Amino acid sequence: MTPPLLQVTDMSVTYTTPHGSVQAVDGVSLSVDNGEAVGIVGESGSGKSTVAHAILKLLPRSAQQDGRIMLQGAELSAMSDREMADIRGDKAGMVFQDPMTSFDPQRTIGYHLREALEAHRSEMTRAERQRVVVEQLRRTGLPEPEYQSNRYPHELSGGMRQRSMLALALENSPALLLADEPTTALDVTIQAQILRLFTDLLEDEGLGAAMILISHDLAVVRQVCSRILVMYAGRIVEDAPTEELFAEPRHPYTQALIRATPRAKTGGGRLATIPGRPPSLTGARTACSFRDRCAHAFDRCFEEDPQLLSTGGPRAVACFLGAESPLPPLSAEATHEEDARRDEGGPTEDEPMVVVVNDVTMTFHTQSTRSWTFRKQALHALRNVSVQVARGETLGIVGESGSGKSTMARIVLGLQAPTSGTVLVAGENPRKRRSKARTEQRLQAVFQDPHGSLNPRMTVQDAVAEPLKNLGMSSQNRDARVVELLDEVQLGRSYASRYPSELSGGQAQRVAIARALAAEPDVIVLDEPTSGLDISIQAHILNLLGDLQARHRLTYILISHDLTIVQHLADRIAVMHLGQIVEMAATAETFLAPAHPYTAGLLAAVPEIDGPGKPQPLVVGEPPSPLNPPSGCSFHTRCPIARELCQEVDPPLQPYRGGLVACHFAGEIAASSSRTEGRTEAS
Amino acid sequence: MTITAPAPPRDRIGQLLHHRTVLAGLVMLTAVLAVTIIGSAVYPGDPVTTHPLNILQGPSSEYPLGTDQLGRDVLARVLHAGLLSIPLGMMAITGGAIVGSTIGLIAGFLGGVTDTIISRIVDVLLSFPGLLIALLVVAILGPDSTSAVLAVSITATPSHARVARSTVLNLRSASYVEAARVSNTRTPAMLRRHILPNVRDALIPIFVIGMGNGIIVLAALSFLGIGVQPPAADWGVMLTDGVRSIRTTPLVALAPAVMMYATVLSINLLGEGLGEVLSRFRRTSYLGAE
Repeated sequence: MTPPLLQVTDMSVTYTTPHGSVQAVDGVSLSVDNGEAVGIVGESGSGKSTVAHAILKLLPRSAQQDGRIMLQGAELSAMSDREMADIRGDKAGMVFQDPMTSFDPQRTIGYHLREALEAHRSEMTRAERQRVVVEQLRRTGLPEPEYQSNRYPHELSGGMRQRSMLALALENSPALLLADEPTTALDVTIQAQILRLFTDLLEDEGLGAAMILISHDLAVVRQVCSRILVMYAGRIVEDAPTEELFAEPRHPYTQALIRATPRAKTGGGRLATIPGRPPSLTGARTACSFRDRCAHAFDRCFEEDPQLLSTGGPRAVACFLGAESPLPPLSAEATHEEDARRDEGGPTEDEPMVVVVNDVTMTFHTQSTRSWTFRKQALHALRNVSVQVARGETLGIVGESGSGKSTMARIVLGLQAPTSGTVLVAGENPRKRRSKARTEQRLQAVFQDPHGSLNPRMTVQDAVAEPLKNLGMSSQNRDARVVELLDEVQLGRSYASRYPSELSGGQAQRVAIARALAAEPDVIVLDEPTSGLDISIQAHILNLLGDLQARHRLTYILISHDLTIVQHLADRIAVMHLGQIVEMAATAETFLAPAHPYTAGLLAAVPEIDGPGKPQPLVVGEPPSPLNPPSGCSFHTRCPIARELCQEVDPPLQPYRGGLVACHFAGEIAASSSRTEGRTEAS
Repeated sequence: MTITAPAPPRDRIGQLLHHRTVLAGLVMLTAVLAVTIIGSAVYPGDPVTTHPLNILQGPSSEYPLGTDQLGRDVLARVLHAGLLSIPLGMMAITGGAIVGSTIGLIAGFLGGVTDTIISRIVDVLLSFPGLLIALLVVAILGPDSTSAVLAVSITATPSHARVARSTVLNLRSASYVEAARVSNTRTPAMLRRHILPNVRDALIPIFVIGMGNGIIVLAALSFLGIGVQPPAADWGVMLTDGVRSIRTTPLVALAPAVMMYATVLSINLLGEGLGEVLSRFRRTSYLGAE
């Protein structure tokens, strides 16, 4: 048997901080064979990124790194910085989350690629290098590679930058490719394209490179990797071939993580959660680090620290229980409250419309960066958007970045006046100072960045009490209400005196939700409420939002780029593309039989956690610029079924099978997509 | 990775005092002020009385730092000059800071045409060296200490205006300010709870460092003969006197220079440390894992 391509033995990384030393990685051993695609999965703080950086010795000086790293028979752990520089970019390539920070903004894309060739292939001539660069960019699917290679990083979209980064990482034909959250910052359609590119390049073109793909998203890893390592608290807790891992997780953490991941295609309902939070990484380990959060923990888990041991065959697990036999299934934990909400099936017909958005257009004027004149360009963020939301309903708004969904949130909240059209919340314009939406706070918001939405100088108590103060409530009543609200979002009253810097992301988002609930609003606008949170935390927040809605008969407008999240809460979904609503229908309808090709494309792009299969980039290319939208149907440039008519006539939003669709050929795509059909039959 | 949460900001004074740079600046500044205030009260020498028979003398028991070319006691002058230079510099910067930050707040908060006009004026002021503007002001108003203080105030105005404005602009789009707006927080409460405390923290470091600069500009004006007028003792005035005899009796110039250096250094240390600690307070993110 040939030795593995990469062999890491007993790697440890320790950071020294003012608060003591932190063991970010604790005795990790792994090996990767030639051509193998291995995924490392874990939540933030699990040490997965640290492992990747440590392999190429890219950690800051404050990190103390131990252990042996062998790559193709060379011992990286014994190499000097200079020797490592020869390895990086030659034998091992890297792709990071945000390609913007990986490129020098002062240099063109082509410069970066030529530079890497120069460093490792000095015998090539200038012309040869340029030819190789263009060839590489073409291979990673960058359109017009000759032209693009002369552009600067900021002139490219995120997806194009990531393609260039991949070209840079692969151009010296490395034996190992390290990809750290390569698609996390990208839209779902672009993510599908990039993941597809990974699989195509690695498997089908016989590049022979092995890959380590690091991600927080199990579904993403499932698409690409043949083996998965699950990390928790600085250790590998499970190592298994992908299909076996999903079919029969042996570590309770893996089991819980799979359960907590929302699914796009299997209906809503309550998500499984993982109680508690990861342990502190300071101090010695004397017991299993997952014991307090584990559904299966028993006496031994509190006394002894389980080691990663083979269970026979290609699998290994660090669990006393899982090492012996398959884990017992997790008990279902749906509550009556949740069932009640689902049974009601959203609002009834005769509910009054609490939010009415009528023909809203929002145009921003921006200074052109390319022109010498001072003429301003018009950016059409929203174009003739109309929606109505009934009391007690959840309307989900989905779309890629730049689709106008956040502008929509700001306009509904009255934070911005639309260029034309009207917004009514409870019958009044929310921008009017005397409107009930403002004086009685019938309308509230929860924003994306939980820490950014809390004033760093205010305690939790003060933050949650602020809306009550504005209502003129006495300080005694306020205190009582704050306690009540903190209980409601499942934070103890002990949190009242904390500052935002003392809260984790999930806790901060609970505080933001408590503040939104304070004045008992009718409508809450949720703008990406869980992005940036770990999967298990996201599950907690989604469940909480569902419970609160059932308890208080709240109306939600849920804005998200993530279809799986919208699926969990929304009764109805509006899909936005380039400032327009292209499809609006009941959630089940939208997911089972998308009528608009863009909706179908978004759905197909969501990585499946429940089944194997390659990502389906049904929608091609990049979203067009809102500064210069295409003629006719603004989606025709990316549409798989576009025809001549689409280039000329912009389809109106018209009724189709109980919903509304803006497509000349509505429903056609659903019939032509085999995946969609399969889903319909399955359910 | 999990790191214990940073020490809570509730004990702000305690955190400030734990910062090494802040502490060093404070200790030094206290020493300078103590020497100036106590020294000038205790030391019997007079700063303006001339002793024509004892000009340009070296240190002696009668004159610990010697005398200048008019036979005045250098130690007495240095101590009394501190009583004048430090408060004048601070006064000038305080005035400029109040005017500047108010202007900046208005520009940032109102936006639109008001902002454009104010910002352009600030740009113009910032495009000239501070000393040049100060010279211009004194040239118009005539040379005395009042116009020198006013001149230094004006040089301090634009930088405070700019920082205040940009801080307000950043805050206006902060999620917590938008959340407060959605909760019907009225403008006065908004300013009091969310805007002003954060603007204050952003301004404190540049205000403190500005004081050091103010003392220097004021001394420069006096040195040029258009600030504090002799025979009053001021570090700038003393330097003018001292440079003429720097070869024979260097102490006449060295004494005020050292005092000024110590004062400005301590203020700069303090300002720099404050900036570091205050930005720590503004940080919201939590270092630990979920």
